[in-house]
Amino acid sequence: MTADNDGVQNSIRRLRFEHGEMTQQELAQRAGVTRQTIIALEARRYSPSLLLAVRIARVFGVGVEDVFQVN
Amino acid sequence: MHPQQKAAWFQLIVIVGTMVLYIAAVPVLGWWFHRTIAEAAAPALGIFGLIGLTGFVPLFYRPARGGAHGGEPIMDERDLQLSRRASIAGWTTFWLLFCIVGMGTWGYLYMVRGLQYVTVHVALFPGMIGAGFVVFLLAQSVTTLHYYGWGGQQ
Repeated sequence: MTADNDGVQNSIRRLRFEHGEMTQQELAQRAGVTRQTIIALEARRYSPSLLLAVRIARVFGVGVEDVFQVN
Repeated sequence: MHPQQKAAWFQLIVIVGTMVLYIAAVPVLGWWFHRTIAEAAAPALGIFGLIGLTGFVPLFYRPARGGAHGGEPIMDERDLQLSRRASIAGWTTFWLLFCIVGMGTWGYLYMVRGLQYVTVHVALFPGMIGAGFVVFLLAQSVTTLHYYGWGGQQ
């Protein structure tokens, strides 16, 4: 169990595979977080800050709403 | 295993280990110095100096110099959030127990035993601070492991 998700969905896993099967470790390094945080995000156990959401979106070269969706 | 998990496990092992050692030391000291269990209980409290080992916890937060985790941040925003929650759990547990034990004892002595004036030994204060610190660390460690998981996997 980790921090709450607050109903935020994300497409990180799909985007990773669409970007050359990027590993969680690589995404973590490029976004400046730990791999555990990427795992928690993909498992929808954690809602990122706006700053982290923007960083992850920039890694994939897409908009924030293409990565994160709020129900 | 995340550094937070390692630190929490280290704290738990030190605290529980110290308590086990204390419980074992009381009869041993009593037998060695020909004292009763009650007489040996106070000097055996010196064992609790081992709690000072928790001061080595920052060693778990050294950045990795190379390998798979090289360049990876030790703590990110999620870790800070979980750390804050664990600290709040620690303080809440400490304060709850402090109030229950402190006020409960006072209420018992005043209301049940009918004592109007109660004096306590000055040695009780450092003991209370130490016990409070142990309660805080225990609750913080357990909460951290609850959030991160008790093993290597999340």
